[in-house]
Amino acid sequence: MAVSGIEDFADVEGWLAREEKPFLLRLLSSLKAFMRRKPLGALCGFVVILFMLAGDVVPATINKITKEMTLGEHIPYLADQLDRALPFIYPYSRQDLRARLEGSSSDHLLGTDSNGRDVLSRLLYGARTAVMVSFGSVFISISIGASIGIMSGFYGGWVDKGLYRFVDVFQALPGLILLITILGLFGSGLWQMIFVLGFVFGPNNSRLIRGQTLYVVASPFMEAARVIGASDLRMMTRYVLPNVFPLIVLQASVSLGVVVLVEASLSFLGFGLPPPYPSWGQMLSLEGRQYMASQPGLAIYPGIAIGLLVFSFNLFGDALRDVLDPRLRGSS
Amino acid sequence: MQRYLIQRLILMIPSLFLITVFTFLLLRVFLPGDVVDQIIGQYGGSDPGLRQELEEDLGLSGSLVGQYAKWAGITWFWGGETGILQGDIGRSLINGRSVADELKRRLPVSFELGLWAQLAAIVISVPTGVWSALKQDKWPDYGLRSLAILLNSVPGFWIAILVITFGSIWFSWAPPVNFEYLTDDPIAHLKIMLLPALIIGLTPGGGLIRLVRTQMLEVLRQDYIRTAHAKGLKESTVVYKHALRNALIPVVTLIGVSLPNIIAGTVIFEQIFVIPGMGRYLVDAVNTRDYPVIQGLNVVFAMLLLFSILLVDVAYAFLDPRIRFE
Repeated sequence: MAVSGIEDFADVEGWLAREEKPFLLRLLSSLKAFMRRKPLGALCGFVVILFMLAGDVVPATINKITKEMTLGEHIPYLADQLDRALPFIYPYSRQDLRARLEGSSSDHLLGTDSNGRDVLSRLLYGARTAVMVSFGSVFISISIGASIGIMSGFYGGWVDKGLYRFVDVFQALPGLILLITILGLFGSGLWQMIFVLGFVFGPNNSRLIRGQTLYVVASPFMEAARVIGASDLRMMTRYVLPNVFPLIVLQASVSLGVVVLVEASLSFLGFGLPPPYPSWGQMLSLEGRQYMASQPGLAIYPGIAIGLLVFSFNLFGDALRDVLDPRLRGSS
Repeated sequence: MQRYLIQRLILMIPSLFLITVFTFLLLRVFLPGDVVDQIIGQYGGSDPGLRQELEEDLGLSGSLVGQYAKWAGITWFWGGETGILQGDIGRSLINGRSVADELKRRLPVSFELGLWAQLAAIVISVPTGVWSALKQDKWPDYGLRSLAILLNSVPGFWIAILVITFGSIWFSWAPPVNFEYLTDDPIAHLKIMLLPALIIGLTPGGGLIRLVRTQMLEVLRQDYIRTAHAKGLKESTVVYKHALRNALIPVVTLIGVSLPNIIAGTVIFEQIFVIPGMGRYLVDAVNTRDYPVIQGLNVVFAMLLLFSILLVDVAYAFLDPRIRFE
């Protein structure tokens, strides 16, 4: 806070008061600053939030947790609400066999597929697949990557060497091939995909985090923390983690885009969610390829959805990186 | 240079070993249900000796370590059967054909497709990245950067479908159905491979554009570039003879990152363009639960990946002599 901001002696009071704004107001003002500095990034962030809402990330996760605890599913899904409220959104499996392969009409804003299912509704429900799989698996993979990276950088020595070999094996694994093998043999479902994608891509994220941890560990304040008796765990969580956080956020945003594309590829090949659950990749492969001559919309709209989501993830991640840590500023 | 090569080759051996162990464990230990039960169920037969025979045939008898040793070909040295070390990758459960024989035709196809795609990615990205750097912060730069991110974001198989769709609608063109090998008919072969390679290369090309641009920008700020300008050299000489060479070194590293993805990613495009490569072989095997083939293919893919990483590292060491002496 610049000293020149103080007009006269009495202003010191106001200066202190301004600093102690509640967390929410500080968050809001930093959001406003972000929107001003990186308008495109903020727009993409907004698109990401839209997708998250359409994809019912929060309700689906909470419902799954409560279902596992046998408390039933309580949180309503946005997609279901829209389905009830709006006349042109239908349940994703509802077939209207009299209206097959139609183009845009007032009933079906983006047309129907060969089974008479509304394309727009399937896009909406497909958002849930894309968003759930990407956020869930990235959460797992970043947790794994950050844990491995921080432990590797913090302890060094044999821990580092051993984990390094382990990560090396994972880096040499052909991702898509392995995923096809696992999901093809063990069957696929929403949560299977989340866990498998998370574990297969997890260790790869640890490289950069390990590098940053090494840099942080060399700082004097780490030695000071050790002197006052901080335990290993406390040092890693309260000292290293906050400094590595921008890099973690960057990794997460890159991974999100990659995972959406991987999920789409797997669904395209038939190893994603089983029908009738909608997934954009599957919409492209089944309907898009077979009927592209008569109804090209079927092949176009899911692709636009995928591209838009990944594009927003990428740009939002870029903007976040530029803002959070200028040292990481890379190609943009 | 030889020393570096030998060093890297030796370091690869434990990684290869770990990968074979990993693949083996994945398919033998975590299999749902019993392979032999499935086969007996499918083809009938209630002879109790049959189960024993099948188990031995498939290498599923004995301890886990013993099974691994047999599959990897370690027991061959003691008079056992051949395994991976001797080049015997297994036999298909479905048609009994040797995996190695099948791969003799398929592996070159996939690898070649991957190489063409990588070449396409370089051809797309280097001129674009250089031009983007030369016109930094002006409109062509912004446009090209957005295009780069866009290319990196849209799924490649979608572009392939769109190309096929609109190619058929507008130009009455369809992708060739009968595949020609390079040795049989080179011209037709290249015509078949050209379009898929181009489309596969678009996605990594988008990522590479931004890297080339960054590297070019960094190099252009160097003092020796200023010297070249001061000497009165033409702009094109400065860019192509001096700047580009130095800017491209880290791009080789990124090729190292994108080449494995390309090789693994050809799976989808082989389905779309009906190219008989390793990817289709794997997908068919997984769909028919052909376990020996799946196991073998996983190992082969991993080895292919390791070798391409090695290739790239050697190229990097060749371009930048400092690496060899680390």
